[in-house]
Amino acid sequence: MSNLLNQIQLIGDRLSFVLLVVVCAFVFPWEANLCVFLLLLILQTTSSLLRPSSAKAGLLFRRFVRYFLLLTLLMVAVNALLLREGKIIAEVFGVSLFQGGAIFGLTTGLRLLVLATALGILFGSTPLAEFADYLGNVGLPSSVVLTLLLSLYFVETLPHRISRIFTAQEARGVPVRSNLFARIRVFSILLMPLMLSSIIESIDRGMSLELRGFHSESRISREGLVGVRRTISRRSAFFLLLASAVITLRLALWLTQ
Amino acid sequence: MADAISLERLSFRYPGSSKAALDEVSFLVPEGSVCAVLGPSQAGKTTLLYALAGVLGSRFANAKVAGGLSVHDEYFDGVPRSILFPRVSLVLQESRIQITGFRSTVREELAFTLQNLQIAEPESAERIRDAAEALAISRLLDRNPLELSGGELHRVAIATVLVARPQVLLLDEPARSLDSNSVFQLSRALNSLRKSQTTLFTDADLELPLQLADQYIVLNRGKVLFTGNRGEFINSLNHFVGLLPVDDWLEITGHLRRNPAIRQTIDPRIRRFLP
Repeated sequence: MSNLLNQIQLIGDRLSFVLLVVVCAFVFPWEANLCVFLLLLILQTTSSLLRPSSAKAGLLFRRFVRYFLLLTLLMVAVNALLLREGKIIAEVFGVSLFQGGAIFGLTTGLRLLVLATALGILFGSTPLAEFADYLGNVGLPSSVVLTLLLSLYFVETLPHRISRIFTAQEARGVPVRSNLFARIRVFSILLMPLMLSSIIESIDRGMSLELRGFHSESRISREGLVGVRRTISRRSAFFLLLASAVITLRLALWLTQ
Repeated sequence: MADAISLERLSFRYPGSSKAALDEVSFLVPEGSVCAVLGPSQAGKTTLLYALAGVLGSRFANAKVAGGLSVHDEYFDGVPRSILFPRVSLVLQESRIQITGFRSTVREELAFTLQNLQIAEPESAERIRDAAEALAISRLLDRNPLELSGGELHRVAIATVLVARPQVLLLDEPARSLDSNSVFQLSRALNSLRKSQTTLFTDADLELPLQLADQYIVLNRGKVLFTGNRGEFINSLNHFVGLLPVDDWLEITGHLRRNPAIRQTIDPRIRRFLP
């Protein structure tokens, strides 16, 4: 019982921490967000609160962050190329890259990267079953929990689906993995069927959960913990206070400018 | 013996469709029996199961319905308007869908159904143990459901509703895409459940129905073509050429009629299902 209470408390702490990071991502300049990103990577491996729940979750987290890191670099490059503001910071094959554009790209890209990393840490360290129990425990209706779970399940299984489709295409001789452009071309063709099949599966999955009584509002959480714990831990309170302080400070700075 | 399921001229038409998915369907299924609903694709098999489970009534409020059905003496004018779980439990065609995907072990997956029913320990553990033993999945309880083979996953999917101890168990094409060995294991597991509830399952093939069922219903284009017991069904097989894959069975029964001695050369597992 105490283990389960701890587990619920831990998820609450993680959510509060993620909320703090989200606030920081929107308030901090890009230099600070770069530090937050690096700090998140360190905490993800060292803190027991934020460590991935399994080796598979760790692998998915690393892939997830890698994709967003690439996206951030791409955003910096594109903005530096197209947003012709400030001095020229570099010239590549006769093409000028501008400082103003690069900073804009860094600000937006790092914000996105920090948000993605924080969410990756939350879902990497919290198995969906525990997250569902937590949401039910804090009083969310089962229909809302169901919708959230179906969305999260879709996101979790998306890489596997894409990989399966790619393998099927490869078996037909389509060079889907030969280079980035081939991947993008095939992906754009497959996007609609992928989305449609996912929606259909979500409907079926929703029906199957309903057929197992999930819509019952009186369902009990694992080992009957509903409503046992709705208090905030000290750690959560600390994170939430810190988030409030960051917002207040930002507002104060904005008002005095 | 009382009837567990009774349909009286039940008709159902999906909203926007000009064709009836079920057309004046009538039959009786005695309590404790195992009934196979057979027919080709688009025969109305899945619609029939959805009607019995309450899925049609809860999903298609504007559908055209006529007739009625009874489940264990409770009469419904038309189709039930809400899901009848746990009295009537349905296992969907794709077992992967039946699994929530967010429980890390089979044990937790089975416990999920019981949490929905507010059944706590120790009864929860007892029900999981009973269902696991009945479906021969005890050794799989601590495995991840998503890492199981097709046959194993199918039995786990059945267990996810069996823990609710339904009066009527509905299975939508349970033998679909299973190899012969898995079908045989499934048949053995379902056979062990015979006493505890009434089972109704659909199939487009004959392997599982001939191993397991004692009642047979043949549907085509929403209409009932045949209802009867095993003997009556086997004697009528030649009427279903083109609708069901009966050629092999007709060949075997034809050979048997001409030369009864070859009965001994047939695999004993198959032999016991022959007329």
